[in-house]
Amino acid sequence: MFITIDEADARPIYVQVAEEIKALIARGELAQGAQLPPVRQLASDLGVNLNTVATAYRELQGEGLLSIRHGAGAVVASRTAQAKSEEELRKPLRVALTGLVLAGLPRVEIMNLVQSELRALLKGAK
Amino acid sequence: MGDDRSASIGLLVAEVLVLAVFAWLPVMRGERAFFGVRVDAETYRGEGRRALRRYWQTLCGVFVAAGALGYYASISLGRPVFSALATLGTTAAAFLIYGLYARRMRPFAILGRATRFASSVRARRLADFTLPWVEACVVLFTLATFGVLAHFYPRLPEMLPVHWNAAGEADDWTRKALPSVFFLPAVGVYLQVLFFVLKRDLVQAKMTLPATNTEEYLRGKERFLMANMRLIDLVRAVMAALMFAIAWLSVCTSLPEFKRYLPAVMAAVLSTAGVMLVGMGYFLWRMAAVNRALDELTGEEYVQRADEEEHWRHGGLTYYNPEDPALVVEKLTGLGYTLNIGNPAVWYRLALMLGIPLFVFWALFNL
Repeated sequence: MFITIDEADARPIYVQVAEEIKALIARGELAQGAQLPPVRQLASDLGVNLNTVATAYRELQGEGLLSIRHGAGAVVASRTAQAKSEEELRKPLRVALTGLVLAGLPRVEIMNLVQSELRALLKGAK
Repeated sequence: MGDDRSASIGLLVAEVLVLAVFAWLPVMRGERAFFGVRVDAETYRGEGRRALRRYWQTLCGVFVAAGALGYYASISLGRPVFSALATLGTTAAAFLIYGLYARRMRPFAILGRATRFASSVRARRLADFTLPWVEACVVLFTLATFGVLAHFYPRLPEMLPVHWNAAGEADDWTRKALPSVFFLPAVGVYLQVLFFVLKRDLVQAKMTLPATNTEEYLRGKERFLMANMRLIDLVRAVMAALMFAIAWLSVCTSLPEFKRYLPAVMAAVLSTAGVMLVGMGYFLWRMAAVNRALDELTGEEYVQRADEEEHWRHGGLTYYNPEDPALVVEKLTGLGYTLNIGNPAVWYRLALMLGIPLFVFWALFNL
């Protein structure tokens, strides 16, 4: 089980860390109650500031995915993020689909892409 | 005289080992860390090879001259201290020469091109690297060392042996007192604390992974880390056993009724030292084997971000990066791990290490 960051990616590192952990939770690779590495371990391994990882963990805590207890570290609290409105959920989907349409992909190919990504995401999830 | 000659030959062998290590250091990771600097293939084969030849010539010249001089002075004057000085002097000179050549290669440095890096999300814990029987050995031998010395303390003579020759005969004595009797076990406890602190830090050693072949790479690096942990455990356990054996050596050479156990105790002392050397060799070989396998798999033995590569000093021997939260990082040149001396938390560890020579100096002038 790994997370990957890309220095060439325009997204800040903390966003990349948070999204990678979210993907692991969504795929079921990180089950409820699973312990995450201490902030220092993850920050050292990735060569980033302690605050970068701490911010990512706090963000996930804010979404209800992690619980952070002093001394016990970060633990996966839930496999479902806190409820969002339908509009909030639609917004990132719309952005991603717009990118695919602008890339010139036909509807069928977009549907295939979405389905294969969804299959990969839900493969490990129960 | 025989002992002097053995000591001088032993020091000469140590000097040859140091020479071999320093000859190998610049090229152990090829062009990825040539004198601790990443260079391109053209520089490595051209300017690099010429610099390497000059480096080897300088190194050999200094070692041959200093070694011969030290050996000759120690044999002809009957003072092995000259051989010891030659070994220390040539080691310091080797560091200096290596550092000078490393500085010369810096302008040729290029940075790694990888931008994607991975990290395991499995928490590493000290318990994963702890063997209960090793911990039990360390505690029992340490307590037993103090127990033996405390038990026999009232019966020990006024003059105590503090140094023995290869045959187990005492050749240096000191006056009996609590500091002189318990000095060595106290140093043993101090070293145990130091090694335990270093082991605890090593659990969180930096383990940056490449974005491809990540699984295999992680397995290799975990084996590498485990070999390091076992090496530390070996040193801790053998050191505790050695202290226990030395406590008995003091008793056997001081009290006539225990003289008959002297050969067995001497054998125990020598065998613990032997186990330490063989074990260290074994674990270093295992670490080198893991790195070789990783190199074949990914073309890199050690993965790090480009902005970290610039923080290696002294030809990849020391790492100074105040921005890096890691306390312990894998050595760029050499085998094993080193401390990130740019991290203020490491300074306490360095102060703890400084305690060892201070202990020895105190003993030299006060016991």
